[in-house]
Amino acid sequence: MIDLDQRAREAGAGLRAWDPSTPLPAASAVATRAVRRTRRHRAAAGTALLGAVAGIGLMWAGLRQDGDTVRTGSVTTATTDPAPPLTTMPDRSPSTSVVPETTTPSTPVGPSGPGPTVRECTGELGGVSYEVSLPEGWYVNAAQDGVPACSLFGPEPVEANLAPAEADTPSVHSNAVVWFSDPYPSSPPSETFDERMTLDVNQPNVVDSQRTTIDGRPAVRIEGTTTPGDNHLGGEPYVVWHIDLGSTELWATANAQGVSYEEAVTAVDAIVHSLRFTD
Amino acid sequence: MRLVGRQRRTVGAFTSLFESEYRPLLRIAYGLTGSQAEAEELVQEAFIRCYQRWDTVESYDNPGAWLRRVLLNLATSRGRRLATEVRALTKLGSRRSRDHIGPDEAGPGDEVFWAAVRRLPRRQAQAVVLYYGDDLPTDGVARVMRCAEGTVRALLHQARTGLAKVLDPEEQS
Repeated sequence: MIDLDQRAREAGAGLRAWDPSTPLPAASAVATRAVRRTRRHRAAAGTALLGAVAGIGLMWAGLRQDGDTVRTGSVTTATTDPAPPLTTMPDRSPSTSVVPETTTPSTPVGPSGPGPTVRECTGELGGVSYEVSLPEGWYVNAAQDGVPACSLFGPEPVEANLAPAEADTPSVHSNAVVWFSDPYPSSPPSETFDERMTLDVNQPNVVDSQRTTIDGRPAVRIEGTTTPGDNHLGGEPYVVWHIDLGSTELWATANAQGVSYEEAVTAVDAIVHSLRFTD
Repeated sequence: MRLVGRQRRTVGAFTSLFESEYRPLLRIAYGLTGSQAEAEELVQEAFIRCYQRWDTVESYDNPGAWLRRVLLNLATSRGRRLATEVRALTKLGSRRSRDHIGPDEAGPGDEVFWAAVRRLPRRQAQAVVLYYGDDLPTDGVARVMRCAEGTVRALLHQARTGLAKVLDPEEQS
């Protein structure tokens, strides 16, 4: 049996003795980056404020032109990101049904019954139960070891194969287009949801982010591009939803497998907006 | 460009902190990420945030502890981003797993140990890197992680137990 403490001390000494080959960057260069970023943020904040003022002005002008007509609606502020939206977002009104109503009765998904006639399913992540509506003709997974029911969705019958366990995220291979997952299955985060999201939305690869609520729970939708990795060049777009479940989060992501990226994003947005938490 | 007195003092104090803490922070970041490039990016980001809040950070008793806390948060956020990307890039039969991320070729000695540390639950891995890698005492780790010293001891105990299962073949049998 090895002396783990001793090995850890030796590994720690090795780490402290490590002398990276790259020279120490200049502190002034880092300070300059900080100053430039601060100026950019201030300029962006000014642009957003101008956009808000312009929006109010246009709305006021419209009210005056229409005489007695009363217009209602929110004033949108200009986004500071020049990139166009990747896809049209579905209506986010909670009263709007994302999935068209049909006469097919709702069928809870059981271990043996997912299929194209299923319109709704119920699942559970992080101790929180939820119901979700499926796009018409879509399939959903049944429960199996390591993969909870109602967490994988796709236009084809969903397959899920477990791979050897990794660090703190179960390794699942699947042809699903939309995935629900719990990013903290074993260790609850110490930061608040808001603190985590503040960090996430400020990552350099984030293209756009929106804070909202899903069935009353705080949620953030992030669009980003992947960073270069060993199996890909990076730069691929992705969307992830973070929904606050209290002790953990529900992540919903889209994978363009057998569908276009735009279709995958539309699907994940629709499925997320259909979520109803039952706890 | 001429610097006025206050600016000069700010730059001087920041440079002093940068030069004393950059390497230790880089080693912590390396322990958490297994990638020198990622570690350098995280440490520079931590210092950028430090400079942006310098008026506040400078007044702290221990700016190094604040920097370490920012670094842990950035590393956590990076891990979440990578996990997100992994999920977003998932393909049947072809998946970029977290195991494939790092390490760089020319890292420090016991890479098997640090790779095992990175597979621990996040708080355990942070405690190990700070305690063994950064050589902080348990109360120093607790200060950085904003938890009780007893919690740090428990995290280290859990981490050692977890590491033994991975690193010690006898423990597995």
